[in-house]
Amino acid sequence: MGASLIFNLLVALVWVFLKGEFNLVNLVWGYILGAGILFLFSQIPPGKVYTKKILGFIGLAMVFLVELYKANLSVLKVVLSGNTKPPSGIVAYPLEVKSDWGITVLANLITLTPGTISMEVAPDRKTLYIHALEVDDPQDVVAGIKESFEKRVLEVFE
Amino acid sequence: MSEIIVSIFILLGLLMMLAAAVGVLRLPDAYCRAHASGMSSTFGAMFFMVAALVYFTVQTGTFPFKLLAIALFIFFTGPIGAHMLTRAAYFTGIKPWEGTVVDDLKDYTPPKR
Repeated sequence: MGASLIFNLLVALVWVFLKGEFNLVNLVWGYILGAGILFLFSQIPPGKVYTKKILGFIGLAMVFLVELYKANLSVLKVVLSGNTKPPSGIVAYPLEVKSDWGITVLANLITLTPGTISMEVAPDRKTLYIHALEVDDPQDVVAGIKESFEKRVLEVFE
Repeated sequence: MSEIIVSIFILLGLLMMLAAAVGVLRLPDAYCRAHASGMSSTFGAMFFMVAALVYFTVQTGTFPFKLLAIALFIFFTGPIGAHMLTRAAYFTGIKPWEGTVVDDLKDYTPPKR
């Protein structure tokens, strides 16, 4: 209560300084704006501010771009090679992420990188079924995704 | 100068999409083909976006934020389409081709909705 009142007054003062003229109109208008901002931010529960995870998010984006590049090259190789009979397969992937957002983001990242498509999430949310274009060893497919995506998705979205 | 850069990116995007089309024709089954078409909606679209970004930035002098929104929409909708297509294909009984190495979905029954 007290902290938000002080915050509100500070916003009003900042507004006055930005306007460059100290009068009642500016002060009241700044106070009203501050109240609006406070109301908007009150919807976010404390401690759940995303800025704490911004570094993890940037890391995830970078890893995604690298994986996207690698995956496109490998699919390109299969498509343009003389032998277009890749050892494809559907692999059960044990999920570590639990939340709705985590599973959604992970499944979408997997599908976005060519070469792997997430096909189905089991109702108990413990398995994700992935179709992979090149399965040399199912364990390798699982380990690759765990290493690149899931670790970081866990960091950011759980 | 900017025209050359724009042309190169458009060419790269076109080559990516051509490769994706070739892949759709050459790969053995519906599931593998979905991977090939994925190339066009990721790298293909990305190269075009970069080309448009350079072009409009040079032309108008401002950074076209709308293009970032378009790229975002493509990245959201593309995977959902691929996911739904392969999922629908599998549960309506289209068998993976005979060279498939593993099929962990074989013993799985989709929940009734």
